[in-house]
Formats: sequence, C-alpha cells, structure tokens
Amino acid sequence: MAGLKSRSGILLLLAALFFVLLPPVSSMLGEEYLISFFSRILIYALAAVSLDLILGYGGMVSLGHAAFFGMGAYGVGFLAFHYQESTPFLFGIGGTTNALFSWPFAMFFSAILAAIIGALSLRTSGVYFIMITLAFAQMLYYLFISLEAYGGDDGLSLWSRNTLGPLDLSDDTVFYYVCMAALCAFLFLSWRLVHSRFGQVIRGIKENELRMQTLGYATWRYQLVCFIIAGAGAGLAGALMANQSEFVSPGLMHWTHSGEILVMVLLGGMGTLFGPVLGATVFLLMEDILAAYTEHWMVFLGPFLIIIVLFARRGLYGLIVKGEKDGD
Amino acid sequence: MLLFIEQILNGLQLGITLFLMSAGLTLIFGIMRIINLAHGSFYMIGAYVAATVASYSGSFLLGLLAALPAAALTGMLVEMIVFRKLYQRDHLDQVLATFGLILFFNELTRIIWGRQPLFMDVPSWLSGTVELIPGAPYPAYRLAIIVVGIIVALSLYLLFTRTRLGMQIRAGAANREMIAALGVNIKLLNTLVFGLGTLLAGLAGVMAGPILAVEAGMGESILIMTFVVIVIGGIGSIRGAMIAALLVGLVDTLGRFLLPELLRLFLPAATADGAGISLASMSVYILMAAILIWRPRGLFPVQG
Amino acid sequence: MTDVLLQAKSLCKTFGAVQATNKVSLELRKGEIHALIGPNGAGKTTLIKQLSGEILADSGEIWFRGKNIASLPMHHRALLGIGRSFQITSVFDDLSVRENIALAVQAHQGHSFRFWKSVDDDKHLQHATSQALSQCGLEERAAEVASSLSHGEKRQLDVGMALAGNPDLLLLDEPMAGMGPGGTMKMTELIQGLKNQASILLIEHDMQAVFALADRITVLVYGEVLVTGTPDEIRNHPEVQSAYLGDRNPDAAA
Repeated sequence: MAGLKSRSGILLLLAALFFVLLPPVSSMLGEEYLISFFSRILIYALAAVSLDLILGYGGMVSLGHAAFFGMGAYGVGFLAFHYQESTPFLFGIGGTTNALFSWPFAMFFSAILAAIIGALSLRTSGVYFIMITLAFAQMLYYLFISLEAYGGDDGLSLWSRNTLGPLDLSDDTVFYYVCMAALCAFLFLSWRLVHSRFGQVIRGIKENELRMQTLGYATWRYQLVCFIIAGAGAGLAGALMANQSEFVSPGLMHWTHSGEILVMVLLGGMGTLFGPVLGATVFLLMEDILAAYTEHWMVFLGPFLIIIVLFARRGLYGLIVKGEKDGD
Repeated sequence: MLLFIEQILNGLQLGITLFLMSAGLTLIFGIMRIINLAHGSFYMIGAYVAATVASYSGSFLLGLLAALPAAALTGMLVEMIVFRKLYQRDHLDQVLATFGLILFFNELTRIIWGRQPLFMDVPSWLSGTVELIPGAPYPAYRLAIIVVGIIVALSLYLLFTRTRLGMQIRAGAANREMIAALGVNIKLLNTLVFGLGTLLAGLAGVMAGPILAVEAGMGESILIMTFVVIVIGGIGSIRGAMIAALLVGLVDTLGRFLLPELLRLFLPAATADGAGISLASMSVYILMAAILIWRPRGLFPVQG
Repeated sequence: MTDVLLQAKSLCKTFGAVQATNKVSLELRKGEIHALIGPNGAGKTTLIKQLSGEILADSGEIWFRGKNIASLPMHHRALLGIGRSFQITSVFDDLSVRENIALAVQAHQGHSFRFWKSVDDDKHLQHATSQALSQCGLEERAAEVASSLSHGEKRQLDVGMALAGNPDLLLLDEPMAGMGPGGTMKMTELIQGLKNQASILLIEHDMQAVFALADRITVLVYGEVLVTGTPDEIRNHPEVQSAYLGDRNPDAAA
C-alpha cells in the first residue's frame, strides 16, 4: 500500500480524520442533524464499495445491486416485525431486534439471494448479464410490493433500532460510529481480498476471461463467489439502513436505486475501493445541496452523469490521485 | 371461458406493445451494439406528445401524427449528440450514460408537464366493442392495437427483406466495416436506424396512452419487460422479439388471471390470492430464468 | 513405438454452411515439435481451438493421456497439462509482466479461493513466477505493465504464460506473427529449448522456422488433412508444393 506521504495516503488520512471528527464537531456547532446525514453517507459508501468489488474489480456490470441492499434491510425488517407482532417468523422461531442476530441474518439472506441470482445471471455475459441482473432485481421489487403482510408498497416500520450488545443505537452518535466501523471493516477485508490470490483471479477475469479459462481457471466459480461477497456487503449496508431510517420499503430495491449506487461508484472512481466512499459522499451532498435550490435538480444530474462518463471516466479518486497504481 | 378469451386477447395486446418496444431496442442493439436504457424515454415522449396534442385538438389521430415524428426526431438528435460518442465505449459507459438520459428526460417531463399524470381518451371511433366471437365483445381499441402491431411486423418484414435500406441495415448488423467500405454512409444509417427504433417506441407509447396513465417514469416499467423479451428472444433478432413478446405478454396476463384461481384449489382463499398475485408478478422473470437455463443466449440468438 | 501424447480422431466442425474442420485426424508424439501448416483459411486456428476446448467439436474424439477430452471445458484441459498461446496476443494489458506470469503459475497451484494473504507476500507463488519469468526471458521487464511492451515482447509473454503452467502439450498459434528477424530468432531458440519439457503443436507461416524446428509436419487445406510427414517428405510432396509452397503467400504474418 502506498505510503502516507503519497496522494492517496494523504487523501485517506484526511478522510479518516473528517469522518472521525464529524460527530463532536457537529455537536459543537449545534448542527446535530449532520450526524444522521453522514450516517446515511457511510451506509451508502458501504453499498458502493461492495458494488465496486464486482464492478470495478470484477468487471461485472450489475444493475441489480440494490436488490441485495433491500434484502438486507428487509432481513432486519422481517425479524423486527415478528418481534413487534410477537408472531413466529421461520420454522417457529420468533423475531428479534438483536443486531447480533439480525445483521448476520440480513447478510446471509442477501448472500443466498446473490448466490441464486448470480448462478443464473453469470451463465451469460455482456449485455445479457446487465439486463438479467436488472430484471431479477425488479422482480424482487414487484414481489415485495405484493407482500401485503409486510406492508407492501407502504413499507414496514421498525419501532426502534436494533440493540447491539451494550451499545445504544438509538443514540445517533453511537450509531454513526457503528456505521463507520462497519465500513472500515468491510474496506479492510475488501482491500485484503483484492490483493489476494482470489483478487488477482477476479482482476484477470475482468481483463481477459478467455485467457483465464485457457490458463486453467473455472472463471464462473470465482465470479459467483465475488458476486456473493458483494451481495453480503450490500446486505449489511441494507441492515444498517433499516436501522438508520427505522423503515423499510420495496423502493430500496428499485433498479433506479441500483443506478444511483452505480453512479456513486463511477463518480468516486471504479476499481479503487476508496473512490466509492468519495463518490457516495459527493453524490449525497450534491443531492442535498441542489435539492435546496430546485426540486428539479435531477435534470442536471442526468447531463452531469453523461459528461462524467464521456470525459472524467476515472472518477474523483482518479483525478486526485492521478498517476498512481490502481487498486491501492 | 369468455373471460379466458378476453384475457388471451389482452395478453396479445400487451405482447404487441412489447414487440414494438423490443423490435426497436433489439434493432438498435443488434446493429449498433449499443445498450440503451433510455429507450423507455421515447415511449414516454410519444405518450406525452400524443396526449397533449390530442387534448388540445380533440383528435387522437393528430396526436399520433405529432407524436411519431417527435419521438423519431428526439431519438435522432440524441443519437447525434450522445450516442455517437458511445459506440466505441464499453457497455458500462453506455449503461451509465443512458441512465443519465433517463434521469434527464424524466425530470424534464416533470418540469414541462408537472407531476400529475395526463389522461388520454380512447378515440371515439374506436370506443366501442367488437364481437370477434359471438357473445364475447372485446374493446375495439385494444383490437386496433393488435392490428397495428401485425401491420408493423409485416412492414418491418418487408422493409428488411425487400428494400435496399433493409438490406443495408441487415448487412450492417453482420459486418459494419464491410458496408462502410462499400460506400454506405454508416453515420447516416445509424441515425436512421436509431430513429426507426425510437419511432416504434413512440408508437407503443401513443397506443398505450389511453390504457395506462401517462406519467414520468412510465418508460421504465415497460423497459424492464422489454429487456426480458429481448433476453428471451435473443438480442438482434426481430423474429425472436416477436415470439418472445407474445410469450411474455400472454404469460404475464394469463398468469395474473389464472394463478390466484389455480392456487385456490390448494390453499385457503386469502393466502391463495396473495400468493397468486406475488407469483404472477414474478412469472415473466421465472420464465426468463427457465429459458436462460436451457438457452443462455435466448431462443433465436443472432450469430456474431 | 514412440509414445503418443495427443490423438485427434476424425474431428468435424461446421459453422453454418462452412465445414471448417472435416474429419481431421492428428497425432502428436511425446517430445516432438509437430508443425501445422496450410494456406490462410485452412482451419488451423479452428483446430487449435477444438484441441484447447475454446470450441467444442461437432464430432470426433480427442485422446490425451488416455482420456477422451473432447467434451471437457477449456479450464479442465488446461489443468490436465495443455497450454496454449494465441495468434492475436492475448495477455492482461493492465497488469505487470510479473502479474501476468503469476496468474499463469497460480492456476496450477491448487484453487485460488484464498482471500487473505497478499500475492506479493506469497513466497510459493512468487518463487515459481520468477522461475517462469526467466524461462521465457522476460525477467528484465517483470515490473513493466504489459501494455507498454513491444510487439515482440508481448508475443514472448503470450508464450511465456502458456509455458508457466509446465504443460505436457503446448499449442502455439503463430508465435512469430508480426515479428522481425531478431524476434523470430529469439522465439525459435525459445521453442527449441522446450523440446525436453513439452510436446509442441506449432502453427506457423514462417517456413524457415517451420523447417528448422519441426520433427513432423501436417498440412491442412480447406479443413482437411492433406498429408503428414517429415520435413523432407513434405518439402518434396507435389500436392503440397502446388497447394501451399508453390504459390507462396508474400504476407507471411497473419
């Protein structure tokens, strides 16, 4: 990893300082709402990093990533609902609001889904893959809308956030740091993954799948595992989101939501792991600031996105850290 | 039984709408190898222009006549400004850029027409019913959609097999460099093909207008199904698009009608209805998954 | 009877109306360099693709080490000991030369579902990679990104990657394509040096190299085997002379 003196090292340090100091500084300035706002940013950063694994490193253009995000949220939602209603959930087991159970469950739920969708979608490639991931995600969206028992289109409310051991997640500051910890943990694990043997294989498949097969790799298996890992990451982000807003709805799975996460990854810089964090931050900040000026700010986002795609493909991270080796 | 026939006709009508959308999209993808998420936007433009002109002039036909060039011209404009730069790029770039187009068009629509959906009336001369089968009246308008679809399918067939332009388009799909070398103006051909594709989308939008609500974002819901159709039919194949579109239209419509009924045989009514609706909304995707397992490249994949 | 490593029996492949491969039978002996020559469009690369598994033959058998591998997927055949280089250079452009070779080596070091240890610290991998690098003569360029290599060096890398897995059978598809005399000589030496390690099936248009290297030559015309024999037999064969050597194609590189 590049040393602290390099541009990427400095950027990382600044970002870390910023995020760590945000809650105390916001409290001091009396702008407590920022803590909640940036919790949301951290959650989306996690989702974006997980997408970067399959997109930036694996070269798999999935337009259905929000499905895993939504499934994670609903994982927490189902358990909370059954706890609130005191009704059994699966196989006679009741619900729970204990994060130590809910969150792994949410990740597992998303991972299983990723395994199924991945197994079906990865049989194809190129445009087919893009369309199929999109279709499956939409399928889930319509499915959840039809689940009247769990709120359908209106969504599901959580009475409170989960409990995480001795930590009181209803305290926004505590929750913020938990989100930050989750993001850091996932970033670290992803970083190790990307530099491992597995990571090299994934990168090789992205570059030249045919050659990889000629060399002796069953490429489909590696792509599927990568897909599952990314799905689990998005599931964790979803679980955190369910807690953040204390509400889950099918809209979380809508493909335009996938599109937004995709934009965050692109904006920040694909294949950089840290770029998506930057991208999520900038995107959500922009959304908030622009929305204050005009309710039609989206009409600018469209062309902005096109311009980035055409002229600033490397994203913000690429622009700032220009010339350094990819993947640090 | 009569209800069943009516549902089949509805399925066909949905299928025709999907065919118009997917024919355009598969053409664009097959010839230009460009994935266009914004295809639904031209469907939307067709519907909005038709609805607006029809309500001012009182004539559905005028609305139609205004909408078609509107969709086609917008399409060609977009092709020249945005798509020309995307041909060389990879699919990801195309997805992202066209996603940007969707955001732009949806919001632009909201700016111009507001957030309330527009309503389009069925033209008075088509507002009756026709008794195709004695005792089974079917809305004339929906029947008209089916007829129009058949006419378009035949026209496309004639275009591709009997005209020079059609030959050039097909040749272009097979070998781009070759026809450029033969002196065909590729740029113009691309623009025209794109215009044709968006015209078909606009037509689908106009016809769907009186049946569905005309609102921003209407393009995306039909777009997903269009993708399903193309994946099932095989990218680049018009014949595949036709067969897959009818299949999807029928499965979706009949599924919504039959599945709750079917499940009532096994489950208590309330559960059956709920599960039936859920299953029905997933039916086309399950169909797509099943076909993909059997044929990963669709039913009629085009070589190359 | 010398050991037969690979035996293709009656392979057929049709693409639409074109019969690209028509009942091709071929035999490769252990330790030999067997050249496959023929005019452009004869179906040489298509044959290699069927042997490596990129395409599945419509009918016929491929016997390798006592097994019929004709229906096995590509990666499986690679792990059985078949390496292949490409006519149009196929490497990992954005990765360094070392990383390219490492991937080739890694495939033969068990599964790669290892998520924690950094490849740079992986001594087992890096050691084998260094060996493979020196074998194909690219140690000096190890840290360079593959896309910055010269054409000749890229071809070297392409072959080097096929070698890195220590295959028993090497399928080389025009390794000298696009190379000048210097590069051609280097490649010829490289291939010659491999004689004891692997059996080689070589497609090449450069006739000098072919006759210098080959123990036996098979001539392919319009998807069919015309004749198989020693270089002398081929050189003097009348049909070969008219079909191929006679109207020598001045454009030797594909």
